[in-house]
Amino acid sequence: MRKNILERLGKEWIFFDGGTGSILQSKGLQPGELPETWNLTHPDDIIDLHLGYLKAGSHIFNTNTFGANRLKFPDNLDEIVSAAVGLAKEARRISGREDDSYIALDIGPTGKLLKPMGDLSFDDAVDIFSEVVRIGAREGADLILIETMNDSYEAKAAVLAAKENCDLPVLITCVFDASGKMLTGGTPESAVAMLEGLGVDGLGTNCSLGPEQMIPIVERLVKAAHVPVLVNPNAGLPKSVDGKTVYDVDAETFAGFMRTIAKIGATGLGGCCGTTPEYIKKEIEAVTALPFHAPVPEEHTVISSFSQVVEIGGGAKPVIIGERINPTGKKRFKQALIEHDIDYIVDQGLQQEDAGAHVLDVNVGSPEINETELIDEVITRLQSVLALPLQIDTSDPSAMERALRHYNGKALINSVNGKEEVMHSVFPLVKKYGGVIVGLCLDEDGIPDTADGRIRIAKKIYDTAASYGIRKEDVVIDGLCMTISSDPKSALVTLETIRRIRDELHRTSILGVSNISFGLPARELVNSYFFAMALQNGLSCAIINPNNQAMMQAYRSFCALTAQDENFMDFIGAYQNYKTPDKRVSEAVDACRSRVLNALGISAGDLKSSGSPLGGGNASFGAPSGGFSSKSGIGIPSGTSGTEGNSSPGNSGFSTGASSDLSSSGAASQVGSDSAQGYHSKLMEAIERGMAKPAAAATKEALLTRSALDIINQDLVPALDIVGKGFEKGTLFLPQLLMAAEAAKAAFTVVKESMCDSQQESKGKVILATVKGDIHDIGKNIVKVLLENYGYDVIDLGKDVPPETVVETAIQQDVKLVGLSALMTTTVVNMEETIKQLREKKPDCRIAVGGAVMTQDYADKIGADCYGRDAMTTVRYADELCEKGLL
Amino acid sequence: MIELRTKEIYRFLGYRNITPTPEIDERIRLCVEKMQAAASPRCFYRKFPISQDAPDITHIAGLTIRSKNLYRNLQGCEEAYMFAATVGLGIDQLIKRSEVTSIMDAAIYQAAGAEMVEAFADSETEKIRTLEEKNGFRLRPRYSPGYGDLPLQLQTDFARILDMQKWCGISLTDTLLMVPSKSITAFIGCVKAEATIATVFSAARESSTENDEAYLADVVNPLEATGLSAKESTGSKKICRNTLPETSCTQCSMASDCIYRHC
Repeated sequence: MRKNILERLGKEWIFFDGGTGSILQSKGLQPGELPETWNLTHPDDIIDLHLGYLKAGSHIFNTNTFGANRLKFPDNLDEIVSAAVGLAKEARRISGREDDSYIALDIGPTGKLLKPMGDLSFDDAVDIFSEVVRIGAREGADLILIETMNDSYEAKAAVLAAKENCDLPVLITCVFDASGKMLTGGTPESAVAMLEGLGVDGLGTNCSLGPEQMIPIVERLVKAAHVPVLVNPNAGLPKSVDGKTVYDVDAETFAGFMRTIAKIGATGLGGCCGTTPEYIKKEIEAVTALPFHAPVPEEHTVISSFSQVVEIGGGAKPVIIGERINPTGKKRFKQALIEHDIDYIVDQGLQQEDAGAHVLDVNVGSPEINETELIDEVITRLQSVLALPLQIDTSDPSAMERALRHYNGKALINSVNGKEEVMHSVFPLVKKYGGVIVGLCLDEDGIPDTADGRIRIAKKIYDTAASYGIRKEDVVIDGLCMTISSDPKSALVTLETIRRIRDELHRTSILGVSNISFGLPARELVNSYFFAMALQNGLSCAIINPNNQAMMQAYRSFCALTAQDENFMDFIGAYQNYKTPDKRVSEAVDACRSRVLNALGISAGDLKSSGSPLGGGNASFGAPSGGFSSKSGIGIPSGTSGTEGNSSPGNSGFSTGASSDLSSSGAASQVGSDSAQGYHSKLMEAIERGMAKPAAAATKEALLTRSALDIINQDLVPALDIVGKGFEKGTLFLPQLLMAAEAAKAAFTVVKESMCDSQQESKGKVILATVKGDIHDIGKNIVKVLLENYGYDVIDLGKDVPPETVVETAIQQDVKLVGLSALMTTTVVNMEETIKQLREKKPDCRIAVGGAVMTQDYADKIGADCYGRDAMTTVRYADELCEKGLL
Repeated sequence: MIELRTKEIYRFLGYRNITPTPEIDERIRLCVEKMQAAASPRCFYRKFPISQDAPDITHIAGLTIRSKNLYRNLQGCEEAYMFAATVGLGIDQLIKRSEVTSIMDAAIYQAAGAEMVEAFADSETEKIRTLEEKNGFRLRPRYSPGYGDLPLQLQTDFARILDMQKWCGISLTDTLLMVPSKSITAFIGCVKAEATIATVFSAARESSTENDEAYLADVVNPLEATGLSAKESTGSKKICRNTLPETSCTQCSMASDCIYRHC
């Protein structure tokens, strides 16, 4: 009777088989021919292949199904996979090794890259793998071996498919290059974190490198992993000799390196491309001579993104979790959620990354929106542009599940608590998808007001988690911050709780730090001191606003003081230009003074030159007061005004405190240098020269005396037009146009803030889309920035947009101008189809097209109204329609 | 590190004989610095014997390709390389991120990325050239699917024959775009050195680019070059695949619309 492979793996040396492709090629497989077809056309050769490895002593041998999926075999997948398992069974029977060998259903990559870089959706990838798993399991495979995965996201899809469609053991090996990276950026550590979270029974690496080059990767895998580590290298590095691929390591040498790899701690060993039964036989001889030993797994709490890991506790630096992606108390953020302005949300993430966050909390819960859909979209977007691990923050289990399913890594999950019902709805998700779960110290009886009570709940959470198979180190306890204004002792209870989590439970803790000061003035004073105290009491993770100076000062100082900042690199990097608050105040006052003088100079000039601005001057008087109040938030150092609402987005991109004031004061100190010849303001000049910061500063200055609309019409648009005309005439080239556009955008951002509540005027709505099948959208994005600059309301449908979506949106929102872009002949076909459907269903809509292969001729041929030869054409065309009243 | 030619980056950015401002040069420098750290160049190629039938048919690696441009490019060659190169997904990740933060940077990454993969492909081609020169062969300029009248559909054959995903990490979308986007596939013809010396002045060696022009298409845009609709110029009808000696054309997946059905 055969033992289950799981009873053996990690307890004795287990050997895999070796290469398939190279052997089949020697039997006559042609370059480019799909090896899996041989299951039907050359069954004897396949049996022969298996027999070779069985005789050599492999325990686990792979079905010939590496590339078997519906993309490559749309018509006969079932037949191919069934035959493969059948042939493996037959080979095992012939070999007489039915008791100690195992048939692995071999699953390789789909051959396509997943979104967002590629065009295969995650859910489709799961589907494709699921189909193969179901057939293989039905036919009697003993385990699933997912191999040669070079994208962590695809690896996740494959593991989920295996777990959801059979009860067989699941093993997986990924491909790392010599620098230890997967194709999409994953590392051994990030891969282990995610894959163990998903519950694989063994993991490792295969292909790409020879055994020698794999050694450093194996060391990292062994250090990170809790499950057995599997290693299947190529027979060295490939070389092309006379058009054929050969490998540079012979069987003897290969076996020697594999012995070293076994000593390091890998317990499952085999081979990949270029290895043959001879290699495996020698490897088995070399390794079985060693006494078996399995490494003792190290305990650590780790979360990951697709490419980064963050360790919590275990001697690692305290972790900063950025709290800004959260609508609570933020009007602008709520508005972004309702308007589906994902770019704004992503930008909040990027700002926090720049400010020093290690992890980003993602909370998009708001009564007006569908949280499940939105958190899914936000997480997907965030992980496509930044590499920080995310904390999925929701109390809705369905939103949590969707986010966890599509998250490319091992997430921090916020949260569970001691309530039975909550634990039983959340822990199954943690078990299935992996993650580190935040456990709040509260339960059915509320929040205990003693540390004893909170520790008791923490223990209950650990125990219940353990009953679901979740390790203690994957639970981080939130000691709960309650405001001291309602209970003066609450901070003390919190601090004692986290200290005891460290000292008595030897576990990790987390706090949402800012709550402590709710209801008090000068909150950041309380927050930052409390933060330092909490860190001293062992806090492992802090959810804070990393844009807040005082908090980051406390953090960096703490790390410097506790020998957690090597050579003070972080501290010096952040504060080498530090200025005391007094100095900052005096500088800010100076800057403000010169700004006001400067502004008065402009308004005086305007008053002299014409009569009409009197009215404008009056109207603008309303604006300055708004301008002033926001200004004081900027000019005076954040220390005094900023509590948690200390965001002032225009100016807060800089984390290093004093410097942001300098740039604007520098610009402002050139008092009265403009206002001469004709009308060419400092703002106009800044835009024309493409200088974003000076443009924003000049706009703030102008807003002191003039209305927003006036600035847009007198300065912004004319300046853009000068640049646009220069581009059209050929005296400027694209980068200059784009730099000007960015400067104008910075100016617009300032203007928009000043008229936050008033209705904004739009020249008309324009839909932009990169057509179905096309995933490159730089051209479209350039046109978008320009159109927005010129006052159009752009509905950006993104890339890979089906014709139906364009048509539906055009009808729903009654849009009269659609811009389409396509890169290749293959996607121009879809552009043609989109135009056809638009003509049918929205005949009053004009269509502009552009893209690499597009020509005037072709644009005419497929019935477009405008051929966007360059970045400005669409803007001009929109202006033309606008003048005729057609938009 | 891959040496990038600033002039080429300007060109990809739409250079018009305008001296770029120092600000632009600085932005380009910063972007290129990040790209060098993010790039993971990979290259793979295989050599196959070729034969040709006038006026426009080339046989290579079990493929029969109808294309005037390729025919001219490979004329006189006994062998040709199928070549693939990429600078990796890191560049796409930079582009993706910059699309949120700065459209200017995005444009620079696009342009410099195009130059980067060209420069990398050039340096790899140079290695092949050196090798072939020792054997008395010269190389024709690279010729890529999707240029002129050479069908883009050939990308699927490159992917299959070179096992591009495995060796270079290049995969294709349904619409035959390559991912990573900064990737190149091409044929590189290999011609006996005396064949060129007989027809071209020996000076051609020094001015090899000028000479190369003769083998490239006059019109690169497939829509213009072929005068066909987008669907037709993609070209599945212009390729016949018969990888298996024993498989006749009627069993090939393109059999239903194959013009070589009776071959």
